Amino acid sequence: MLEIKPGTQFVLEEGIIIQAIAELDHYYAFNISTGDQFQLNHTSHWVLESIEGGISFQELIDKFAGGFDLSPDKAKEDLMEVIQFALESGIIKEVQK
Amino acid sequence: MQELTIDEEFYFQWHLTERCNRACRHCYQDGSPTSELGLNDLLTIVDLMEEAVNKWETTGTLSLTGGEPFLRKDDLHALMYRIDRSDALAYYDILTNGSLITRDEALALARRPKLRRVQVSLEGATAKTNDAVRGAGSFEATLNAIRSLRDAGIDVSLMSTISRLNHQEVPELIELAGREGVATLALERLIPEGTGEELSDQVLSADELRDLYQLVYSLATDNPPVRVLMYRPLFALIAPEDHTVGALCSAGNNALTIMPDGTVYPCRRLPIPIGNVLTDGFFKIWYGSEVLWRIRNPKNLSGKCNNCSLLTQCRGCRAMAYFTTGDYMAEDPQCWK
Repeated sequence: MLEIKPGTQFVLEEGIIIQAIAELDHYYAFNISTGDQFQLNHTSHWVLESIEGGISFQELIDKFAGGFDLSPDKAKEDLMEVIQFALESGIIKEVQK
Repeated sequence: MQELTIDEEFYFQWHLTERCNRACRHCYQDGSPTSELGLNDLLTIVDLMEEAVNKWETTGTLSLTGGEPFLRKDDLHALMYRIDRSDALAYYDILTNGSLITRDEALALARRPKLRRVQVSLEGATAKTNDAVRGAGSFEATLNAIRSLRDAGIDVSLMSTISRLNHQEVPELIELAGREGVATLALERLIPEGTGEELSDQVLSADELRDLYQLVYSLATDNPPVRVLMYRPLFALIAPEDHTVGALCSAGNNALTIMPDGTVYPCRRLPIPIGNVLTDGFFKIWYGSEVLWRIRNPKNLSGKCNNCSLLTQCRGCRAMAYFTTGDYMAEDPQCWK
């Protein structure tokens, strides 16, 4: 299982853009360099949008738990799943401080 | 999360030049000169097309056109040679006014394995009607081109831009297309743009268009002498239950138009620049264009298009909305529903 420190910060990988047609519940991430495309659900789109705005992992947990009415542990568990996929798919990367 | 695939064909309408040896009154070009890419850049664009359709796990199809594409005959043939050897691009059509197609040219075209059809245009079933729009002598020249192409064994499609100048001749045009052995006939609506803006008063009203489409549908479904293509917005209103009729506009869905300098439009009739293929690439344009994303969301449609019961079959023509109202998401002004 992925280990993420609370202060860890992620950013979108270079070339990644996220798009949505919220009214139709359609959410996407695209890599404009490689052409890779990913269909997202509302939650994962929300996570990537938050990461795009610049946020630490702990801040993301707090915001996610508050926004979706989850316990911190459940929020962290769900976030880890999204982040692991996003890292493995080259959608986000960890910022080296 | 899951990988996406686009499982239908992707269509590129590629204008190699805006130069033309005709001066048709209804043309969507505005007559201003456009720079043209050299052959090496054209070949690079083919590479980019292949990269895109391979990534999207779909099949690429093209129309090679102008202006008059045979004014760049050598480059046109070099492109065909390249595309003929592509594993990603299935076939191409050439859209031409036909004036430069000799018998020798037709025979050369017949040797192109991925050339599906050559499309020429007639604006009526008589020289009088056609030549009033396309210029003196163009009716006979176009018929000669059709015959040369047919004699060489090439499928020919015929296109006609419908307005008050010619809509009464559509039944005769269908008959003429049949007599000439044409494979398909497409009827496009006059969009008041470019040079054609001067013909704004010749655009059919909604009621006139309804009457025409009803007539065309009845002729096209009753043992017609030519296959009449009705895969166009608004045709769905005639026979909503007939899924061979009507279609969503391909803009933002599965098509792009490339101009002679590499500028990309959602559609040739909707000339809003959304990037340049050589500097941006197809992925950035397709995934990032705000114009395309606005078009893709039917909730952005306004007027009667917004809550139409036929949204899955028809969203109107965005170009007609744009050149009539200034907003490409406005209702189609020729809709009679």
